[in-house]
Formats: sequence, structure tokens, C-alpha cells
Amino acid sequence: MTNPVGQIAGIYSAYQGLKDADSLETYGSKIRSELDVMGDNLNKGSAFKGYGVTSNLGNTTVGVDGSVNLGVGQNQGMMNASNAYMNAGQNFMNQSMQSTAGREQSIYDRSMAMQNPQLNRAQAAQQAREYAMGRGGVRGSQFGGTAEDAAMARARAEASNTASFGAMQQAQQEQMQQANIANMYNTAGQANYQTSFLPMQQQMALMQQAQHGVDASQTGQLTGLQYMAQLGLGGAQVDVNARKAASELKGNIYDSILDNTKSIFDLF
Amino acid sequence: MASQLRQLSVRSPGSEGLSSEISPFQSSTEFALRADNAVIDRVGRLACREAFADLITQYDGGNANYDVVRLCQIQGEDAIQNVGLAEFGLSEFSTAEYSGFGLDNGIKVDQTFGLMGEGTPFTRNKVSRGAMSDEISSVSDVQHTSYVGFYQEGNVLKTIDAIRPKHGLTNCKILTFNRDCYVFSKGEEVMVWDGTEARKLSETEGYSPPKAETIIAPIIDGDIACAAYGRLWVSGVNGDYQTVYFSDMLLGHQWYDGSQELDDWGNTAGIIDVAEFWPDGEDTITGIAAHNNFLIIFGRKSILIYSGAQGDPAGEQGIKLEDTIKDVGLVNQDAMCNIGTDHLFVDSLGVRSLGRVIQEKSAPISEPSMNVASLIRPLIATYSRNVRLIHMPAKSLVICLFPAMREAYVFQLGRPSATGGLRATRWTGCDFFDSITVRTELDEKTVLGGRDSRGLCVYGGFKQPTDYPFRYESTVLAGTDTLMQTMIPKSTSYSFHAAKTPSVFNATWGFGADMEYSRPLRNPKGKSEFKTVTTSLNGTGEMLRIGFDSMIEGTEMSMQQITLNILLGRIIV
Repeated sequence: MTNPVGQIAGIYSAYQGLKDADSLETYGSKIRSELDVMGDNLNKGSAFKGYGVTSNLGNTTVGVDGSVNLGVGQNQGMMNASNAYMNAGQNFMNQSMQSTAGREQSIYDRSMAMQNPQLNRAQAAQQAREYAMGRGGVRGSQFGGTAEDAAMARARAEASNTASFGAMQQAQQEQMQQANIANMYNTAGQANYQTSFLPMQQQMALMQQAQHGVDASQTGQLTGLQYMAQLGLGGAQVDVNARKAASELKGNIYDSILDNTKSIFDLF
Repeated sequence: MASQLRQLSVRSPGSEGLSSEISPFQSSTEFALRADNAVIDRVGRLACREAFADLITQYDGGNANYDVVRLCQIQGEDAIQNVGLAEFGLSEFSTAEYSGFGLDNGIKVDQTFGLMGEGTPFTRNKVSRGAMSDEISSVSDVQHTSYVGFYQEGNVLKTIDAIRPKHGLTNCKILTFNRDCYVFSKGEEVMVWDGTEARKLSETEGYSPPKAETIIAPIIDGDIACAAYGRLWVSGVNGDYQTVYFSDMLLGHQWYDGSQELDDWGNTAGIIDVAEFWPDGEDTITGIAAHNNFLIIFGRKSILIYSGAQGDPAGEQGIKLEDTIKDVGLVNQDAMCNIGTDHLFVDSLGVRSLGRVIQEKSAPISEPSMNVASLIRPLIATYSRNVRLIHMPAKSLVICLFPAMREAYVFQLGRPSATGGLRATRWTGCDFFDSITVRTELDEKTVLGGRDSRGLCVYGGFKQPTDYPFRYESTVLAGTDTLMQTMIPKSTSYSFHAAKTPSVFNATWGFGADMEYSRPLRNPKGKSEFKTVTTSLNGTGEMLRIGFDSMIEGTEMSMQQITLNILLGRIIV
């Protein structure tokens, strides 16, 4: 037989149970809304704030979007020097790439111009000796003139040959020297060019230095947010758990009531 | 009271030769004022010269009137048997003479080559210096209209038609070089006779004219030439008498090559320009000679003496001017000769000795012709273009020949006279222009280039086609210390050496310049070759001179001594 009180108690209990469930559902929605807000706040709070470095070289900033404005360029002086060196190097390189013929002739001419007075003096002395010996008017098939004339001509030819080969070697050495100088200037230009980046590197090094602070700052920021999220979530969880426990307690109480009611009625 | 007869003795009359330089007041009877056709014989006596005897008289040329104007010889290669010896004037050498002396196949004789002057005869007067005065005589010469080369073949002189130079008597030179005879004639290309054929020098295979980058002289046309030290040395090429061209060694056809690429890389020919080296500022080359390892370049008034002409003259240690001499020169290139130990040449002052000139530099204190200086100088001045100096080595004589005069002053080599000059005599009737010594393996023949169509003559023997005079005149004889004292010659005796007394043999004497007295010398005493003839003398005067006048008719004659008996007269005051 049916116990109406039990049934009423049951119905009430169900009613109270549904009512609590609704209350929990509503509360869940509320928590979710609050978590959304908190998530939104955390999102906003954890966003990159950007940072900057200020030095004598310039001001460097890192934007919130990660863009970097170094604020420091190549050293213009170094660049100018580099350009000058490079231009000079180019000139020397151009010169080193020219034909050496003209320079050889020039060196030969200078060499012979230096030697000619001595050769002329030697020839004059030789001719004087020849004249003194009465050989001034002698010409032989083997030598064109005398053996002394031939020797003098040979000396001149040898001087000319030596000057010629010397001029060739000298011109080649000069060409090599120009190439070396070109290389040296180019190296210097390159070094200067590289050096012109030094302020940037230094600024970037400063940026690297600043990176640690930024990281620490962000870590703190994120840690705070994490704490805040954990605390928010934890609070919500605790609240949910409390509500759940309360609900479960209520349910248990209702169950107990029902159970007890049933037993009473059963006594009947 | 009559003065006492005095005897004057002239021993070895004229043994020191002619002298025109001693004072007439100085009694030097060893000198002579005339010594015609004389030489000093081996014992120092005045003797007659040898004859200009015929040797080769046949000539195959068309012109009957010719003179042999130049001679040279090529060393003989082929031995000649006795059959040909007579044609060389060697008939005295029979087979028996040379057989057994390594000459069984005959003897080698130099081949004679020369130039003849052909033309037409003409007669002219000539003036010659006598002992004390000029003598004028008529002479017939051949006026040369052309010259032609010839050579001796057997006993005939054969013409070489390919050799017809424009010049022959002067402006010409022929010489032997490397077995070829070269004919140099002014302004004409050199002609060459190789003993068989004649050619122009440029026709020689491999002929190379003087050239630098271009031809300097297409032909060698100089006339001053010398062959020495293995080369030809020539001046006058292109009419340039300041330059000497010398040929390559032993190659007379290869000359200076100054081009870059030599035709012959062994060519050592060359050129010497002497214009800058005349000690007197300027001169003209008149002759080139070689002596004592020197090359001597004569100018008209200066001499250049080069050493180092051997080897390559232009090479190191080559030719160089060793010495220059001023105011002594050479009148023409024919007026010099080498006597082995010295080189004699004719300067305007007489015959000079290069040895002396080299030794004493430019101030020679004497010359070989100093004893006849005043005789020879006017002749040299007059006949400087054609005076010739000829050495007769086989006779040890040097002949200073004046062809235009047909006379020569002859210098005896060997011991000089007391004055330092060579002993000199005079030759007349010199019917030759030139002389060479033809050497054989048996004998040396002094061959003469005969004039008046005589062909080749030989200096030897004492037989000429016409007899020739042998004359002597003494210097002034001093009877006492007082020169200007009248002398009255009474008699004289001549002691002479002759196989046969000449048919013409006269004592001559006089006072001062004139030898106005003459008397035949007859009936010599003496059975040997030494004979004495005597004759009486007459006349009176101061400055007595004695002499003789003889004709050489085929036998030798030399004068040993002349003795005079005189009386002294009054002293001129």
C-alpha cells in the first residue's frame, strides 16, 4: 500500500532536489560567466606590454606586437670611412687591372734617363780613349765600329735590357702592390663597414640585457595572473564543491528524510 | 928655283860615294863629285854598275813601242826543267847543276806579271845635273796612250787584254796578294790576274763591296794599295784619300760589312778613317806600307804609324795609332821600298829612313840621301809624281829612279858613309821603270821592266845593247895646306881592276868646276886583273880635280887608286 506522506515527502524532496539542481545550474552559469570574465581579464593581463632600452647610442623599443624599433643605425662615420676605403680600394683595383705597358715605358724612360748621363760619360770616355789610341776612325765588320764601340753598344743594350726587364718587373710589382693596396683598402672598408654596425650590436646587446628584465617582468606578470586564475578557479571550484557538497548533503538529507518517512509510514 | 915634284895619291877614289854637300875647300878624296854608273864593290872600291841586259824581248802585243812600267811576281809553284831555264835568264844552271840537290825535277821560278805602256815615240830634251853643272841631252821616250797587263810565258811577254787600266805609270799600283796579282788604277775597279785568267774584282765569287746598311762603294777603285798582314789595304776608294779600306783576311774580294746581318760572320774587313789623326791638321794619303809589325800610312807631309794591324784590326788589342810624325811625308806611293831592316821613302827633302824616323820621332837628324841632298832635292821637287824607289835585295842597292831623267841615285846598303848617309852613286841611261827580284830555288834575278820596247831586262853582267859610261870626278885635291895655291899637274897613273881595259878610257882633270882636260889612257901595265895606266897632264890652276871617263863594254871595271905628280905654284893672295 502507498504511503501518501511518503509520497508527499518524496515529492517534496524531489521538488527540493530539482530546485537545488536548478540553483546549481544557475550557479554554474554564473561561475562560467565569471570565469569568462576572469579569462578575459587574464588574457588581457597576460598580453605583451612591450619594452624599450635607452642608451647613449639611442632608444630602442619593442612594440606590443613584437615589432622592434632599434632606434640605432650604422655608424655614419664608419660608413663614410668604409665607403672611402672601398672607393680607394676600387681605384687601386682598377689601376691594378690596367695594362702595365704604359707604366713599363714610363719606368724604362726614367731608368734610362737616370743611366744615360753615366752611359754618356762612359761613352765619351771610351771615345776619348779610342781617339787617344787612334782608333776613332776604325770600323770593323765584326763590330760595326771597333770592339770598344761594340762593347759600349753592348753595355747600352744591356742597360736598356736591364731597364726594360726591370721596368716590367717594377710595373708588375706595382700592379701587385696596387692590388694589395686595393685589397687592404677593401679590407679596411669592409672592417669599417662591419664596425659601423657596432652601435646596433651594442644596442642589441643592451636589448639582450634588457630581455632578462622583460622576461622577469613578464614572468611576474604571468605568475600573478596565474595566481589570480588559480585563485579564481580555485574559488569557483571551492564554491562549486561547497554547493555540490551542500546539494549532496541536502539530497542526502532528503533521502534520509524520505527514507525515514517511509519507515514511519511503514510502521503504519 | 923650280919647286919639287910632289905626289898626290887618291886611294879608293870615291869609295864613300857621291857627295854634293862637302865644301870644295875640303879635301875628302874618298867622296866623289861624279860617280856615274858606279857602285861600291865588295872591297870598297868604286866599280862600274852591272848592265841592264836583255832578258825577254819578244812581245806578242800589236804595238811595237812600249815600256814595261810595272812589275810584280807570283811565287812559282811548278818546277821548270832546264829547257826553260834560259828563258828565265838561268841558262847557266844546267841539269847537272841542280841534279842531286833535291831539284831533279827542275827548279821553281816566280811568275812575272806586269803592266806595259803602249804609245808612240817622241823626242825631248832632258836636263841632268852634272858634277858641277847641268847637262842637256836629247832623249827618246814612248808617249803612253794605253796600258795593258802582260805575263811572261817562256821567252815571250803575252798581253792580257782583260787588263787594260787607264793608269799605269802613275796613279796605279800592282801587287801580289794570296797568289793573285791585283791591279789598282785610280777611279777604276781592281783587276785581278790569278796566273791563268783575268777578271774584275767584282766578278770574284762571293764579292762583297764595302757596305753598311747601304753600299758604301760598289767597287774598289782606289790606287793607293798595300798587301800586308793577310789583308789588302786600299785608299782612294770613291776618290777618298782620308780613308783606308782593309779587306777580310786573305780574301781580297770581301770588304767591310757594317750591316746588321753579316753575309759572312767571319768577315773582319773594315775601314780606317785617318782624317782626324793627321798631326798637321790635314793631309792626303800618298802611300801605305808595312814594316816591323807596323802599318804605316803616309801623307804628303806627315806619317801615321799604326800598330796591331795583325789579327782583327777593329778588335780588342787591334790597330792603334802608335805614332804620328809631322813634316815628313811621301811624294808618291812608288817612292818607297822596304829593305827588310828599314823602310825607305822619298820625302821632299830626299830619301828618308823610317827606322830613323821612328827612332828619332819627328826630328830626324839625317837621311840616307844626305850626301846628295842638294842634287836630289830639286829633282824630287820637279819629278815628285813619278820618282820611284826600288830595292834590289840581291844587289843590296836602293835605286831612287827619276824615269823622266832616265837617271837614278843609287844608295849602297850596308855600311853608311862617314857622314852617316848611305853611299850614293848616280846611274844614267836607266832604261827601266820598275824592278822585281825573281826568286828561284837556285838564284835571285833582278829583273827590270825595260823601256823603249826592250821587254824585260836583267840587272847583271856588263853587256848592254849599247855600252854605258863609267865616270868619276874627284873632289878638290889639296897639294898643301894652302888650298888657294896654283898646282901644275904633270902626270897621273890609274890603278884599276878589270879583266880587259876598255877601249874608251880617258883621264880627265880640271881646275874648279870644269873638267876641261881629257887624255886617253893606253897601254896598261900588269898581267893580272890589276892594271896601271899612266899619262902626262898639263894645265895649271887652283882647286885641281882628277877623274876618268870610260865605257863599259862587257867587262867589269873598278878603280883602285889614282896617283898624280904635281908641281906647286904661287899662292893666291
